[in-house]
Amino acid sequence: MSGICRTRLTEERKQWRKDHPFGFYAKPTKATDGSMNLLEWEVGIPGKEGTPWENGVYKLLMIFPEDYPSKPPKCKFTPPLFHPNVYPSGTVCLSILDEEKSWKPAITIKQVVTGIQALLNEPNVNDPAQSEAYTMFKNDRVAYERRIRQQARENMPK
Amino acid sequence: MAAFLPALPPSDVRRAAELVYQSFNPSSTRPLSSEEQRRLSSELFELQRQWQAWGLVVPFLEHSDQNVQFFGAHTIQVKIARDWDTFPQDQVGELKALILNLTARSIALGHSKATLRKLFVALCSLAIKLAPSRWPQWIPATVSLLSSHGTPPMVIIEFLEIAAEEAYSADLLPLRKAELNATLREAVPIVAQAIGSSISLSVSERQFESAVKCLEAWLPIIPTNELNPLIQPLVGLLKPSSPAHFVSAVSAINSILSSAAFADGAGSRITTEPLLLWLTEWGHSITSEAARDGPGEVANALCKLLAALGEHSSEYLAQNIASQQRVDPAFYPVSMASSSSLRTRSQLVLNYMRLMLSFTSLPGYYGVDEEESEMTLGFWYTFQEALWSAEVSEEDRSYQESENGMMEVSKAIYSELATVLRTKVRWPSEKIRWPKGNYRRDVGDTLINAYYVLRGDMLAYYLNDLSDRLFKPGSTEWEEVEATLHCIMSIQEALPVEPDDHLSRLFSQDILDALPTSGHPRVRRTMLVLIGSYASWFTTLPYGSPLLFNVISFVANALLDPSLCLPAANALRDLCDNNRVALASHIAAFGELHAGLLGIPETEKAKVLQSIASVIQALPPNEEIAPVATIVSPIVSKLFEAIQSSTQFFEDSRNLAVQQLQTLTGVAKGLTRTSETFDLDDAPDDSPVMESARQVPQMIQLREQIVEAIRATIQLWSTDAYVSDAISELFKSITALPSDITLISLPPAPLLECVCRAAQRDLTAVWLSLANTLIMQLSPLSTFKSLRPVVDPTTLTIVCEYTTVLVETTLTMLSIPGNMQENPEIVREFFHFLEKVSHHFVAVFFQVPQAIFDVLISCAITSMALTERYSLVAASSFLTSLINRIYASEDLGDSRHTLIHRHGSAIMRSLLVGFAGSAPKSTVANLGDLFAVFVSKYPVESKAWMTQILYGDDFTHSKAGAEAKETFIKTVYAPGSGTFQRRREAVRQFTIVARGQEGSNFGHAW
Repeated sequence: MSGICRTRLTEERKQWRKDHPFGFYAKPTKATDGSMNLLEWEVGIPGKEGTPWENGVYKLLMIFPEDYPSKPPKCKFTPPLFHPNVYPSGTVCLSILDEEKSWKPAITIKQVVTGIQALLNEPNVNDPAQSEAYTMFKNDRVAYERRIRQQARENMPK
Repeated sequence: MAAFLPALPPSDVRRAAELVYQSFNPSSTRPLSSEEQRRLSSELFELQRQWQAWGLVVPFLEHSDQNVQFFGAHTIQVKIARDWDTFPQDQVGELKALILNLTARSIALGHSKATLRKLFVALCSLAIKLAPSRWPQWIPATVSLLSSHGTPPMVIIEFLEIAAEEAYSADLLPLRKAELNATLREAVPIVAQAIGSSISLSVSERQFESAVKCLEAWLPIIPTNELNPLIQPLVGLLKPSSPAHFVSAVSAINSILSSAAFADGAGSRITTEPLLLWLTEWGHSITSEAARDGPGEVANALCKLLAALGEHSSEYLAQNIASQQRVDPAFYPVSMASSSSLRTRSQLVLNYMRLMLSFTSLPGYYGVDEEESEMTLGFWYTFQEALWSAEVSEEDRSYQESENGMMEVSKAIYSELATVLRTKVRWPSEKIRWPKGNYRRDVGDTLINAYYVLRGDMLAYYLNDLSDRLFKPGSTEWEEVEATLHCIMSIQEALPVEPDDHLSRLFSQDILDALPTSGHPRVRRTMLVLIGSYASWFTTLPYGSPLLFNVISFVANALLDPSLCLPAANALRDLCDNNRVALASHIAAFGELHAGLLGIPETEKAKVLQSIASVIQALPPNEEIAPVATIVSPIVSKLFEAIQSSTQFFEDSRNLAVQQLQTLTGVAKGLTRTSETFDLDDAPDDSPVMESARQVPQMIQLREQIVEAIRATIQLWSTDAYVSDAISELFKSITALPSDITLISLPPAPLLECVCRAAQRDLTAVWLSLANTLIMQLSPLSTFKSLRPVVDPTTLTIVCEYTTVLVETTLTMLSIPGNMQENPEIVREFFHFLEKVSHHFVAVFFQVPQAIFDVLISCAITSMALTERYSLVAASSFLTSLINRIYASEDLGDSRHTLIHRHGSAIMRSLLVGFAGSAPKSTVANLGDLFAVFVSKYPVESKAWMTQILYGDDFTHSKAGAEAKETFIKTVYAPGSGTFQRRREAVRQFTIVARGQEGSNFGHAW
């Protein structure tokens, strides 16, 4: 890991611990011996209240490349999420996570996770990443919301 | 006073003041409508835009109304920041003098704080334009002038705070920014002096608070040597008897500890050690009072100080937790008498730990009785990491591994932590609402760090605690038991999957029998979630171990309780999925479970059936037949019932059908081998046995019934989004590659037919995506056994028939104007499907009618001109695959190239126009891949097409001249090595030139 990458991720962790949005969690993963892997973070994204996503906390892995922050982290819901802009693999399709679109090295982890939270209930119709959720979102909003509530129930925190 | 500014007639000034007055005091006359408010704002905005607005500044600041005064100050700032270009530069000196005088006068007149702050911002805006060349030493000069007018120190400090905030955050070009920052650095001595003289108990609380804010604003600028002298007086103000000073001093110290100058624990002699010494003198009296009476503002501030010190000094604390070295602080914040009894660093560190633990374990409930315990959790996380990376000095090394060494002492601390956190996660036994938020989860995360330090000792402690509580005489406090179970559940992810005596004890009959079997839903729920989270641990047990059956019984019992059904079903699914082989010999017991499922909701029933199916999977295939029939037949029957009742109860029947489809999906998933049970090297190849079991008439009939039920469902509800989603999930689970085939795996052809019929009725991306999956399963490549896959004629006929249906259906839909733009998901899935067909069955494209093929290629070309990224990329990937496969398929004869010759020029045009600007930049690489295939497979034709298109009169959107075009063609066709890279670079260069982005950062940022 480059010095820039390590310094930046250490600072991101510090800032996160100091102040993070309510209901979220984000922490580097640890090996069985307790040593930390700064390049891989476990994140929990709560669904916004008043939306069909509420009560669910959706688990996401953030995988940082060696050349972060020049390149964005890869964000992957585990298990994959039923959402128009999430690929069948779980990877999130969002312009601020695309180095050819809106990624900027100054974007913080906090901005990424709140961006993903906003995307949950505000899908982008220009990015059909999975056909099931996209089609249902487009053709039958009632069925879509019902399906999202079912998913929220399966993702209620322990 | 300001002859250089426009003079306005008093009537204009009065009218303007009236506008401000109305806008800021709406209630004084009558309430303003939002429309009126907007109108007034707009008028004021317009007023400020005019040059004459300068004429309002002086009369407004002299006005008796505070809001009018504020608007006067605001106007100065706005005119400087927004309309600076219109101000005569030869009068800048006069303007500066005027604003300084107006500011001094406003201070003397006792104008409001808001007006004074706005005047300070205006001064800073002016400095950002002028300093240093036209306003040297602007900060000292301003301070000097204000002082000479008798401005109180606190107001000067407020000016200094704003100076740092405004100037340091100004958005300027780098060179200008550096100049301005230099003016700030020049002012540091005067700032440090102003702050230093306000760090005293003798100044007012407000002045000290202002000094702290000023310090915080200047922290990025003040060098360490100027900062250090401020620390001792700040620590000196940590007097619990003066809470306001105490809180502000903590704020200042915390800001210093987290500043860049003190990053990574720097400055331990001037920060860490004095603060540790201070804590020995004052810490315990504050924490004792907090524990007794609840935390007040001093305790709250102390907790923040401890957390910030822990964050800053975690390395020091870890290194010195057992150090016998004496402290050597830069200063003593407490009397030498009290500090002399503290000889070693370890004594100070342990004192710190005790204080932290006091806050972690504050009596009462977080969020109700206290807010502090949560602030400490992050420290335990950081400290565990610091322990792992601590480098111990040579001097201390000899005793580090002794019983008083670093790890042993740390274990004692984390043992205490594990104990106190157990009490903090306990639910209130009374029926009071506990807004715990994420607290219990955050405590769970902290416990994981404790586990890394304590390992087995931690589980031993919790198991003893659990056992004591469950088996002590008298009534059991179930909230205490639940808290212990929550702690054990929270550390699961850190535990290695290996035999463990403590866990064996946890899942023993004794413990499980002691838990309630009715009522007390919270403790039972936590136990169910705990069991589910430890599902994989049971794989470490010897075959036949009773523990697995103990927990299965516990879970099965809870299934029938409506409040526990969901966690019980989840736990059962995880247990069965992870322990298939161990449970298979007890399949009869699962039969009983299945028979007793009448009362449970369908969503949970689906999980239970998935659980049973995963156990069935571990049986030999011929023994799977009977249980599979037992669980699947009722689902299929219910699906038929739903279909039959649909004419009367359409919605209920639809919902029932969806539930059956979801249940069948769960069963299909359960019957599929997991990666754990599927091992290419070790597992015996039981596919012949499976195939023979599949051919048993009962199974053939069952599969036919399933297909029939699916066909009827699609016939009835294919246009329903809810059903089509359920069908999609089912198809993905119930079709398989030969290596994963199960008794109920269905053949792809009849399902593909269903998909085509559904698509014909209502084309969606879901059907195209499913067709894609099914096409793959029809491919002979998927057998893994045939090195030269040969497509049998029957399969080819099937693929051709259904491909033609889907192509015709989709092209009809997309031919309607606007449909391609509005349905990017359909375009994308359509070309993904075709890409798969071209890859596995390229001959199909020579069997579809030529007219359809021509329309298809035109559609792909149109897609490549769309701005929808997904459509464009999918279409170009399809064409890349098609051309590659056509070129390589020699068995199709030479006539195969005519397809390319007929459409090559149009495709090449689309590519070149895309490079020149019509395609989004992020898709050029995809287009480049197709271009590379063309040039390498059909070089002569491609060169001719390129020349014809690039030099054609209609190639108008490009900014590339003849030279650039020639270079492009030459580079692409230059002989030599590195062809791929060179062509890619040629495309990149041409794209930059053709888009007119040469020399810009944007153009080169690929």
